Amino acid sequence: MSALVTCKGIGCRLGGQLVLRGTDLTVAAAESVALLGSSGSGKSTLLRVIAGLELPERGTVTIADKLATRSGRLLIPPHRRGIAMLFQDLALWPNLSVAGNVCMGLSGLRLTPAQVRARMAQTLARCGISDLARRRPGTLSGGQQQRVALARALAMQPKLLLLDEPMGGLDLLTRQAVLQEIARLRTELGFGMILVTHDPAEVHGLCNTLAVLEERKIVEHGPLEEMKTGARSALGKAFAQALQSIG
Amino acid sequence: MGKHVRAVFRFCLVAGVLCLALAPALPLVFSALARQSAEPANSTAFRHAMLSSLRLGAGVSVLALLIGLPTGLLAALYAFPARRPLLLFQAFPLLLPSFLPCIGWSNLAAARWLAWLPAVDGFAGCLLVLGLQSAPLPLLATWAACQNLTASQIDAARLHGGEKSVLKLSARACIPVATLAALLGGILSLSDPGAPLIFGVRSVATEIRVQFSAWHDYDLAGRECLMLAGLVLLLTGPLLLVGLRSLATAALARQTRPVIPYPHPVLSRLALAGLGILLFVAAMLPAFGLCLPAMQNPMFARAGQKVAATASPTLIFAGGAGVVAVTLATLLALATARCPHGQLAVLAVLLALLASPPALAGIGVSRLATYAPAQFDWLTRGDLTVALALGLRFLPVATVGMMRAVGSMPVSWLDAGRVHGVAPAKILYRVILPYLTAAIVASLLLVMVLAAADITTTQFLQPVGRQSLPVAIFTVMANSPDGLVASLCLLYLAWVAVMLAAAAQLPRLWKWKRSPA
Repeated sequence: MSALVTCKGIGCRLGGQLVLRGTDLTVAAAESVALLGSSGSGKSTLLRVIAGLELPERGTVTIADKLATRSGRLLIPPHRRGIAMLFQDLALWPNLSVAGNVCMGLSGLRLTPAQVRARMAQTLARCGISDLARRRPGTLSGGQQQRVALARALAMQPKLLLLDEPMGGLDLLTRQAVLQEIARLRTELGFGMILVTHDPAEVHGLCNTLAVLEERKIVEHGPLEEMKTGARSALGKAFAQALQSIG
Repeated sequence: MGKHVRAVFRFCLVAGVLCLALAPALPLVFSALARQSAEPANSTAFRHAMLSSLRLGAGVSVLALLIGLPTGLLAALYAFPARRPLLLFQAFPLLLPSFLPCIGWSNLAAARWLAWLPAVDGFAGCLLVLGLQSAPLPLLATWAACQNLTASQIDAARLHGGEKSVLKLSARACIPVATLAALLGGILSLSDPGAPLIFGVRSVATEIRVQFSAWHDYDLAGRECLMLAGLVLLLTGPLLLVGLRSLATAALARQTRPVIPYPHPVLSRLALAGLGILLFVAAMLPAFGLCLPAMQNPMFARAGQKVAATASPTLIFAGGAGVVAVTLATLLALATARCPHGQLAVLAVLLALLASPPALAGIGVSRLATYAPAQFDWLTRGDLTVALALGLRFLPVATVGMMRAVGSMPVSWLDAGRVHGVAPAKILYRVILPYLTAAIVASLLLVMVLAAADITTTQFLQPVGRQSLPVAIFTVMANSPDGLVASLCLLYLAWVAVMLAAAAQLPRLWKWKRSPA
């Protein structure tokens, strides 16, 4: 399988603090990676580096065989990388309607207004929120907001979807519904995924590989089934145990 | 645009705005430092006035802190009825020119059936009026500082040690901020000529005005203003250095779950009583005093004519000042949005600017006008001059408001825009500006009211025949019937109340801003 994203020797500082040091990660096309790590280990920063939102001091990011970032230089801007992101706080623009959020999310694609409308209608229908098109994010429930954020991300037809703990504030039932929705859309559209999470249920439902970030670098990365029995790191072992208890 | 290019652009923008803010004072500063006046700036009369002003400023700061800190703490932490309007109308005295409450108190003292009230006059009267007028500053600063404590911090304190512990924790967090705000109130009273003139106190602000009117000596006025500004900076500089970070933390918003007011059987009532008494003594009582002559001899028809004659300049000066201040403040807030050090530096410069006497800019620009060619009269002698000078004077107020609003905006909105390739200009006018609209309108209204209340800058710079309403009241109050002055004052109070009520409606108009997304 060809690599969709390759991070090599990423070194990154935030506010003078070293967050990532020589981090390597390779994600194959249509691979779905669960990125694990203790709080403050640099998971979100790694996602932001891949998205092009953070500039690393060292290392390279290659996307679909094209060099996207090289030691402090952004060679491909975020919106030209074919990557969408689901933020922890969803980052919906509160003064725009659901349709407005999705349409504005397509600004970077150079589509005609008719194409934008068609893409928006198609994506809202796909995510089951066509009836919410005129509503504003503040008037929606947590689960509905989640779907709007997902629709905005998927409308740009990304090759890779980055999810930064997006289901933290949801109740169990809504979380399960959103997980099923993402899994269905992934099967339908075939995009790759990197999911930052602490929840074994999310990993079980969505991911096929597991990567563990410790001491500011990826210490192990492999297929989920292999990791369940052969994890080496402490966090990997604990997570594998939790996964086995789910089944 | 690269990261470094953006940083350089932001730095140049901030430096340019700060230079513009300091520009009106520069002509007088340079000429005062370069030339010698026939009159020495440190004459005995000026030294006495300076000492008297310093005593007054110190007294005002202490009084404002003693009233504002406990009331602000109780108001922030405890639930009571009519909390929102009561808190909002605490700002009412702050928005009035100080001579209005003075006239009110004088009228109260003159009324025979109110002879039981202690006479408000001289230094004590000045201290009382200015102290009550400045008390909302530490009160509102304390309230803002409490909003930065998280609800869980307060809950933990309540669980571990009850209300005593809550008050102790909150007071510890608020004292530096409240002290600085009270100090600012004291400093602002130094450059206020209204109250000292009415109560016959020789202050440095009145001395500068009187000497400038008599001698018309720009260099002398410049040196006097510089001496005052230097002394203020010398006295407050160390405190500012120590407490600026706390002030910035309190003034600028953070994304936390704010304190939820707690319904305590005793302390809630105490909070209600504190705010009610302060509003009564600082605003309602002097307003009632202003009403007394108008009730005996109403002259609203003549007052209406005066208001009609001064309405246009007042609105142009105030509205222009609002637009200038809010535009520059928005630029400063956006340029320093992700840079705490930049925010601190901007706040430090702007606070120093606010602490400097307004006469420095007023006389400075009029000095510039005497040298500038006639082609520049539109800039140095017109309505625009007054609006620009007032806008720059109140830039700090608008900047704090805009920095708070920009600080409360999640960074992820911009990141989402970058991931989706939305042009920065589109994000600015479709997302950021609509989000900031409530803050922009609130800052605009606040600066408009403050600029309208200013008499020093306006009096020095107003074009001939273009008086603002407060300056007109200040000019006619000595030799006009009491009924006319009172009627004018009441109309002015009504304008301030309407503006405050309009500001109170803003959160309802922008409900989406509180969206959980």
